[in-house]
Amino acid sequence: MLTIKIGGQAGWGVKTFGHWLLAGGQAEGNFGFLYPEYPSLIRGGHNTAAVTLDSQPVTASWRTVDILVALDEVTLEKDRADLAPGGWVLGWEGMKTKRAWLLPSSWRKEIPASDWKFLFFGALGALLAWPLAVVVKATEAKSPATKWLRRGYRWGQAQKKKLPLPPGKGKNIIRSGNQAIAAGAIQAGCGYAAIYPMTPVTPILHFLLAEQKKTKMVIFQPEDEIAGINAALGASYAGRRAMVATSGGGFALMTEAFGMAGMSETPLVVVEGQRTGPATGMPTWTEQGDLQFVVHAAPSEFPHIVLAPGDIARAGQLTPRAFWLAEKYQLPVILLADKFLLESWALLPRWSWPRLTWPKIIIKNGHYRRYRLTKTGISLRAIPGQTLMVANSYEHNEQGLTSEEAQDREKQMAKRLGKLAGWQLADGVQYFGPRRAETVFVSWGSTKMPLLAALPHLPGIGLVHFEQVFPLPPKGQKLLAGRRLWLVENNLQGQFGQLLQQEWGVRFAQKLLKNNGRPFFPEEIISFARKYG
Amino acid sequence: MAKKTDFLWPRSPTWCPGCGNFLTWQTLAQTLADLGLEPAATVVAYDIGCSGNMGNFLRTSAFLGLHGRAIPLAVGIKQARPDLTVLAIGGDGGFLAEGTNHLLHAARRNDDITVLLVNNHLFSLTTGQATPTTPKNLPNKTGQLFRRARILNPLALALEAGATFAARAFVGQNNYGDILAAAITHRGFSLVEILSPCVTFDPVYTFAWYRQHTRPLAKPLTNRHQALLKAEKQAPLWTGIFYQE
Ligand SMILES: Cc1ncc(C[n+]2csc(CCOP(=O)(O)OP(=O)(O)O)c2C)c(N)n1
Ligand code: SF4
Repeated sequence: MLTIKIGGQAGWGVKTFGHWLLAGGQAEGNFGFLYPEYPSLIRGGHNTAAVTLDSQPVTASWRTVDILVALDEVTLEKDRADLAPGGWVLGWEGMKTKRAWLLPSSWRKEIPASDWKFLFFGALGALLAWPLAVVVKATEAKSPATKWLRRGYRWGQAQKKKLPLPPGKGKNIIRSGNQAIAAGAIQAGCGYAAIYPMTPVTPILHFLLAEQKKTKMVIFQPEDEIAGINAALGASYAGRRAMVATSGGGFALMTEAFGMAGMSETPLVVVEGQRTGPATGMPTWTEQGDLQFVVHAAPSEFPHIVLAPGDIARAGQLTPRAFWLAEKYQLPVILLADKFLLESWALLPRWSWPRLTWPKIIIKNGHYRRYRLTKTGISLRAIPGQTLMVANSYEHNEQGLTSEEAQDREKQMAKRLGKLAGWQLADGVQYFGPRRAETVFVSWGSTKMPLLAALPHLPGIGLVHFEQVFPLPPKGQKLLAGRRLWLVENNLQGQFGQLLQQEWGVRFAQKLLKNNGRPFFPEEIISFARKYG
Repeated sequence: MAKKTDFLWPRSPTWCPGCGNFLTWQTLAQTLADLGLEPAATVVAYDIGCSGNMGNFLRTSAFLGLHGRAIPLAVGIKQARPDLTVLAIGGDGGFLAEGTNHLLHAARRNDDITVLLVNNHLFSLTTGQATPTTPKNLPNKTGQLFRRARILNPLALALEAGATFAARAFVGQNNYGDILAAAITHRGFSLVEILSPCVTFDPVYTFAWYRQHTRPLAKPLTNRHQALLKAEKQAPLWTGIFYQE
C-alpha cells in the first residue's frame, strides 16, 4: 500500500493529478481511493489530493503519507506532518527537507505553474516504476504538455531511490460518490431531476446533463430549492420518476414541500449531501451533521425513509433502491450522503445493480380514487391524462378532495403511517469482523470507509454499520445486543447514537466523534481502539 | 366530449355568497369545455387561499399544493408531460408575496403554463391582511405596516420578466371566458390577472366599482413596453389582452 499526497494552489491541477494517479493505478491493476481537500474559492488557496493505491481493495485514503508531492513550499509546511517516518518528498530544488527528490529549480521558472503537474507526474510515474506508456495514457496529455511529462519521467528514471508500486490483478473502474448516485438514478429510470447548484452535490447535475442525450431525462436548474422540490413533485405526480439533490441548507428550504410529498403520497428521492454546517458553514468540507434534521424534517407526522450509503459502490446500489422504495411506498426517500463520500473517488470493482420489479400504475380508470383505503395503506397510483387524478397537500378523502372530517383524518393518517409497518431493508444494517466480537464499532453512512480500512488492524473488534438509518431496522437491535459499543460519528453530538438511545435505549461505552470538517482517517480509529481496547 | 358539468365536482363551494371566485369557477368550467379539453388531461396546480380552494370545486386532474408554490408545481407537471394542459391558480398573496420569484422565473423561461392570478387585493383566507397589491385606500388588518411601500403590478412584472401573454380580466366582464380561453391556448407562459371582488373584506373594490372603473382594450398592444405602460395605468383600469407574442 502506498499513499501519495499532492498539494498546491487551486488552479494548478491538484485534483487532476490525483485522477491521473487513479488512472495509472487502474492500468496497473491496482485499487485506490482519492480524497481531495480544497477551500471554497476558485484560484489560489491550498488544495490537496491524497491517493492511496494498493494491490488489495482500498476503502479509504490513509492519513500517513509515503510520498508528499509538494508543488510549492506551502505544501511542505502544511502537509509535512502527515509524512510517514520513512516518507519521501517530491519537490523543487531549494526545499529544505530530508529524503527528497528535488526537481531542478531552473525548470520551475521555465515551465508555467499550470503545467508543473505534467513534470511532477512524469517524475512520480518513473519513481513508482510505472511504464512510460501508462504514465502518458493516464494523463491523456496532448502535446506540447507531454514534453514535460517525458522530461519528468526521464529525470525520475535517473533517481537512485525508487518506491515501486507492485501491480495488482484488479479490473477496476474509477467513480466518485456523486457519479455513483447519478449512474444509479439513470439505472433507476429517473426521468426528472431538479438541482440548484450546491457543494457537494453539484457534480450530480453535471453528470446527469452529460448523459441527457441518451437518457432523455428532464433536468431543471430551478430559481431556488423550493421551486426545485415543488417542480419535482409536480413531475412525479405527472408520472416521471423524480429526484432533487442538495445539501443541508438547500434541504432546509425544501422541508415544507418534503412534508407535502408525505401528505400527498408523491414518490420523491432527495439526495442530501451533508457539508460542514450550520448556515454556510465550511462549504467544501464534510460532516454527518444533518441526521437528526432529516429524520425530523417537516412539520407533523408522515412516513419517510432515510438511507445512508456507506461507500461509493453502495451509493450506486442504494440509489435505484431509493427510487424503488419511493415508488413502492409512495413517499419521500432521502439518500443521506456527505462531502467525503460524494467528492471522493475510488478505483474499485464494478458493482452490480439491484434487480427491481417496479410497481404498476393505473392507465385508465373512470372511478379512480387516489387515496383509496387498502389493507397495506398503499393505493394504486395513476397518472393524469386518461385518468383523472387529484393529489392534495391538505388532508383529504379517498378521492383526494380536501376534508377536515375527523374520520377522514384518522383513516388517512393511519393509512399513511401504516405503510412502512414491519418494513426493513434486507441489507440495511451490515456486520463486519469476527462474529462473536465482544466490542463493536457502531456507525452509519460514510464512516464505514475508514472503519473498514482500520478493522483488519484491530483483531477481535467488529463493526455494526447502518445504511438504513430511519426508520431503524429491527435487525440492528439484535446485532447490538450484549456487546460493548463504540460509537463513531462525523459530528459533535453523536446524533445517530441519540437516535439509537431514544428508540432502543442503546448505551455506548465510548464515542469517537469529530466535527472539524475532515473525515476520519483509519489511523485515528486504530489509535482510539488501542486506547480503549 | 366533456360538457361544462363534467368540470364541476358535485360539491357546493365554500366561498362567501357573492364572492368573485364563483364567476371564475363557472366561467373556467365553461371555457375548458368549450375548448374541447378533457378533465383528466387538464391539470390545475392550486395555491393556498380562497382562490386555491377552487381545487375542490373545479373537476379536473389537480394537485392542491402549498402557499406560494403552485407555479413551480405546475412547471414540473408541464416539463414532465408536455401533452397535458397545465394551469396554476392562486391569489395575489401566493403569487406576489410568498412566491413572487416563481412568477418572474416562469415568465422569464416562458414555461408553457397558464397562471391565473386571482387578485382580490388581500390575504383573504387569513381574514384580510395587506398583500403587495393592496391599494392605500383599502382598509385592512395590517395596512399601517405598508404605508410607505409601493404596490406591485403583476402584469408589469410579468411583462418585464418576459411573459409572452399578459391579460387582465374583471370576473364580471362579458368576454371573461374569451380571455381565459386565449390564455389557455397560448403556447408559452401566460398570465391573467383576475380582478375578483372579496365581498367580505373589501368594501372598496366591489363589483360596482369595477364596472365603473374598468375599460376593455380594443386589441392587444403590439409592443411589450407599451403593454407594460398601459398595464400600469390605474384610471381607467384597462382589461383584456395587453400583449401576446
Ligand atoms: C407557508 C405558508 N404561510 C402562510 C400560510 C397561511 N396562508 C394561507 S392562505 C394565505 C393567504 C392567501 O392569500 P392569497 O394568496 O391572496 O389568496 P386569497 O385567500 O386572497 O384568495 C396565507 C398567508 C400558509 N398556508 N402557508
Ligand atoms: S373571504 Fe373574500 S375571497 Fe374569500 S371567499 Fe369570502 S369573499 Fe371570497
